[in-house]
Amino acid sequence: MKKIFAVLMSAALALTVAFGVAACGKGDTLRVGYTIYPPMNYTDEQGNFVGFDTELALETGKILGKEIEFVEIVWDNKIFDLNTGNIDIVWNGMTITDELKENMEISEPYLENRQVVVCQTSEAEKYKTKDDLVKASEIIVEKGSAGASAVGATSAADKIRTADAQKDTLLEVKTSASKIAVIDYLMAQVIVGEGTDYSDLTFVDVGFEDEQFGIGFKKGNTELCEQVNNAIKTLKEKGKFAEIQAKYYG
Amino acid sequence: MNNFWSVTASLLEGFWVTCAIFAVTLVLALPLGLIIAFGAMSSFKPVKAVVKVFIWVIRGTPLMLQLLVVYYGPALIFHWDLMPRFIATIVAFVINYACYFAEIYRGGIESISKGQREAGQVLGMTKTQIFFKVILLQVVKRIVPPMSNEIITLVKDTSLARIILVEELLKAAQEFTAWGLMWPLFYTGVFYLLFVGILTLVFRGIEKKLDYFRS
Repeated sequence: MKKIFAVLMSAALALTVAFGVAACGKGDTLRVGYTIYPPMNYTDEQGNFVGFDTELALETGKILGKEIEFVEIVWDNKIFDLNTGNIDIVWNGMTITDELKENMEISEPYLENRQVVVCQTSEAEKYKTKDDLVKASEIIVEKGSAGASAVGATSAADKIRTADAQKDTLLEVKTSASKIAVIDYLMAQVIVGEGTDYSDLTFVDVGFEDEQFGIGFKKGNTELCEQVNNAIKTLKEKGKFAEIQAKYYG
Repeated sequence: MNNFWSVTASLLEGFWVTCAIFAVTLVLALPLGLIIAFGAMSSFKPVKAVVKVFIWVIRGTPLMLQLLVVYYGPALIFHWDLMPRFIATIVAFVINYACYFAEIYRGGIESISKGQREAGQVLGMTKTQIFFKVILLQVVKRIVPPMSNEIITLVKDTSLARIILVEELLKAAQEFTAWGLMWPLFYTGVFYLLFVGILTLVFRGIEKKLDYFRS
């Protein structure tokens, strides 16, 4: 009798632990990894965490019936964060590349983007096509970014220097430490020019190819990837997507 | 691109920069530290005050911040041309480490009892003679353990130079991480361990050599 009781008790304990772990691990929360990257994810003057991707993620959470928890990550370590379960999703204006496809599940493209050259306004005349990139003594890009790939494919590949984040490339150009930066059009549009901290900088289109933004998941997690794809489809149908887009790229 | 040897080759390039930062900083900061130490012990009050404040500022702010200020500061404030990244790194590291070394020197010099100085004076030695023939030998022996501590820290602090985009060992490894390759990052640990291992043996040798004046 005692033995049966003990077995039952341990079974109950095991079940409780199993449920507990399941509740903590999966639960109703999705952990979304981001870096500060205006206008996708950033904090506004009032101290609210906003941005295109921020709002899109929150709306997606509503559709899926899940809480969204934002976790700041180091961009370089995003795949590591996914694989260790630190985050469930990378949602941070991520350009879809072949390298990334090998290492994570990626959603359907949800936004168009391309790479542009950021330089001091007085030098804007110098850069008209991709062949003009060699005129710069040093080109700063975010490591592992679409900009890094884009410049890597030109004759100016040997001029590349890499920074941790796209926003760090702007200080380099402002101080002339690097002559030009190659970053996302979607970011350049809102972060340089009049009324910003980088009013002496401007951006030029030198004809890099169009790219697409995607949302990343742990390799093999096709289920969540599908769910998010469907949610975004719904948001587009309902006009919510266009509403958020107009807010940040009006 | 991803095989072991090409990663090793790429990390070795970074390791070379790490070694260069380490060696140049050490060679310049060791003597500069002694000068600062003399300043901090100066009997001329204004010099002493300025040096003390300087040490406070340098030890009181992160080396990472100092690197940013040294590299970007002149361009942002005075619109000067930037110095090369490596030079800026050396300037920041030498100033920072010289201040830490200075405090170790000062501690060592002040730990020698006043009696020995007085004995030297009684024997008719000059101030310089007392410093070099009586004090210094004992100071060197006493400061080896704290200095080796600081020098080992320097090996690892070189990785801070990545903040101004110097291609040192850790930054070289992070180029791979950005593309989804994790292991090179941890592989850098082997380089640092080997470097510090060799230094530890060197310091053990030095301590043995300095085994005079056993008390």
